Amino acid sequence: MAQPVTLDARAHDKDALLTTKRESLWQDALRRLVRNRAAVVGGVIILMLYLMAIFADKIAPYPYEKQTLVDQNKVPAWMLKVFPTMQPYAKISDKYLLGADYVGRDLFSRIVYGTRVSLTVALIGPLISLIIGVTYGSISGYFGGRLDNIMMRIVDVLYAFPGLLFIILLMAFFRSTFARPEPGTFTYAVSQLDARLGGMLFIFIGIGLTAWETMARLTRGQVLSMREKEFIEAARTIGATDLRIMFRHILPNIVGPLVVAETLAIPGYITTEAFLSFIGLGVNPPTPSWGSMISEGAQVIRTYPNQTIFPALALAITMFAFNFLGDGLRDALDPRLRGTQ
Amino acid sequence: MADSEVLVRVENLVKHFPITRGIIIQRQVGAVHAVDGLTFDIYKGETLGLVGESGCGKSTTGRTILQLYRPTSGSVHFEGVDLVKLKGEDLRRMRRRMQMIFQDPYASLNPRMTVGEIIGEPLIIHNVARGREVQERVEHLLELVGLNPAYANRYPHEFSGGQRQRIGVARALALQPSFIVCDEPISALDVSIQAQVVNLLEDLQQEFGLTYLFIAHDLSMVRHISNRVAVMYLGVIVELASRDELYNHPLHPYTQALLSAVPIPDPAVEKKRKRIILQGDVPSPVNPPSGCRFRTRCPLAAEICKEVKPEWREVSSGHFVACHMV
Repeated sequence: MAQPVTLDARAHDKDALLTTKRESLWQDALRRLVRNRAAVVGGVIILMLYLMAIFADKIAPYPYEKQTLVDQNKVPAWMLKVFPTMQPYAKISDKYLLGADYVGRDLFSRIVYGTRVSLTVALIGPLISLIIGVTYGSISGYFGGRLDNIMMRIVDVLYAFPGLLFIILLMAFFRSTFARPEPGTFTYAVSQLDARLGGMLFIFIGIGLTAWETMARLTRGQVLSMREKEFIEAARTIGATDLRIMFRHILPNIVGPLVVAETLAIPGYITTEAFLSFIGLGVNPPTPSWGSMISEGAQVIRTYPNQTIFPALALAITMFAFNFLGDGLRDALDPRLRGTQ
Repeated sequence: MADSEVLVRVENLVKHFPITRGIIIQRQVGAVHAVDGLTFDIYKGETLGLVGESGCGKSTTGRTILQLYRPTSGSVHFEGVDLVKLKGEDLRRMRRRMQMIFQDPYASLNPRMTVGEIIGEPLIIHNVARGREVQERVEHLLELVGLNPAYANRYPHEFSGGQRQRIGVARALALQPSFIVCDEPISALDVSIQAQVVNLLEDLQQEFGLTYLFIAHDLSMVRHISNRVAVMYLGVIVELASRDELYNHPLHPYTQALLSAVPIPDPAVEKKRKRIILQGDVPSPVNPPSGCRFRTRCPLAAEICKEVKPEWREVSSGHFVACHMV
């Protein structure tokens, strides 16, 4: 029993070296992601949408705010084949790919520019919730105990807070035309910033207020379960600091679920923006947003359905793309979850 | 062994885990008496085996000695320094001298780090080596534990349990510690691999003059590797003696019962062997029995066991026991 067996083990290890090939968990996940066709399609669409947002002024044939009043509600000839009911009254103009709206603005150009709003939201939403939510949740989960308890109760309270109502109040306050704020006051500065951002400031605030809470909870739960793992204890034994344990040992192991949750949350942010714009609390006209375009189109939905359908289609395609990518990421990062919600 | 230098001196070590209730205002409603007053020495270069059934506080003892759990009271002197009094940076510096090998080789290695990063991490944390030197030390350590040095840039999931445990051993050795707590290092391994890892630990002990606290519940393995053996029951050590003394002349009724459970690989002897079968279950460590912890299951229990906590005394040279009936 006291004979050294190490020599045998070494010989055995050499054989193993020749047969298995090296692969990190991330490479493995990427390979699975690429094999998932829906996820790849989603990813490509998202990439194309971002290119469209960046090069909107090159792609769009007209400026988004250019009104040509004689062209109002004009439709291209092919539209009549799709919507034959328009035949009796529609005025034809092949100048516009998807038609023009009620003040004669090119629908296609506005949809292209609308990508900017939706995709900015799709970028800012996760950014806010990752920065605030992950930091908050990590601290809460890692240090645990009373601190965790207090921090999570705060999240509970904020969770119950009516975010939408708050945004509406904010906008009523800062965008009030009745009492123009004096230059130099805080209110003035905020309303200027809002105007400068085309009215997106409050959308960011609204999403930021609510999005990080879910993320904080998720992160906290993940950190909590990771914290008890033996390799964390091993890290402590070798003298690792809390910061090192957090960044080297815990975060790399939980980043998968966090990325998946965040990707799947993006359609939610886009919907929030579209909804706010739909009810007239989003971007300032004439900045085009898919939500406000649907809202405007809805007023003439029976006579000119094209004005609603195309922005709605753009919205739907974007949401599908993010959902497919999110699903694919989830399956790739944790194959055991495949087929679950 | 008794004349050797003491490396670790544990005195009255107590670890209670509080049980709290309440959502915002938490009040303590009780405590799990995981470790309840341990006093023993570990000599330089020896292997002290620590045995006992599941949940008796073996692992907590090991972790409390290393200050992974801060003890409720008591002291742990390691190389002359009281670890309990150390904090922050000072304690981190002491960690170079004392390491741990964990039970589960699947849970004790970070799956997102390569083997080289895992073994090299202690070197980087303590600034022992840097850059190319880290890599060389890692390769050397891998060779030392019987793994191919080329494995350094692989991930833990590519290895078998035994190989992973070797990686864990290499990580523990990286800082050249003098004392290693082995927390059931072989319990999670196949029997055929157990011997390999135990032999590796023995070889390393000889090569580097290591001192082990070997926690296990496999009595024959403890007998094989230990110089002295301590038996734990419900948070206290009931008996401590040199290996042969303990296995040949167990004094405490619990030790006797424990040893009688080891089968003997000879059918003739096995047939005649009388097993001491204990009645009942281990009492809850939340509310341990008064007096002697073992009295509720002890075949020799008397009235005094209920009232007086048995004294921890040396009955013969180096043979300690806590029992009124001895």
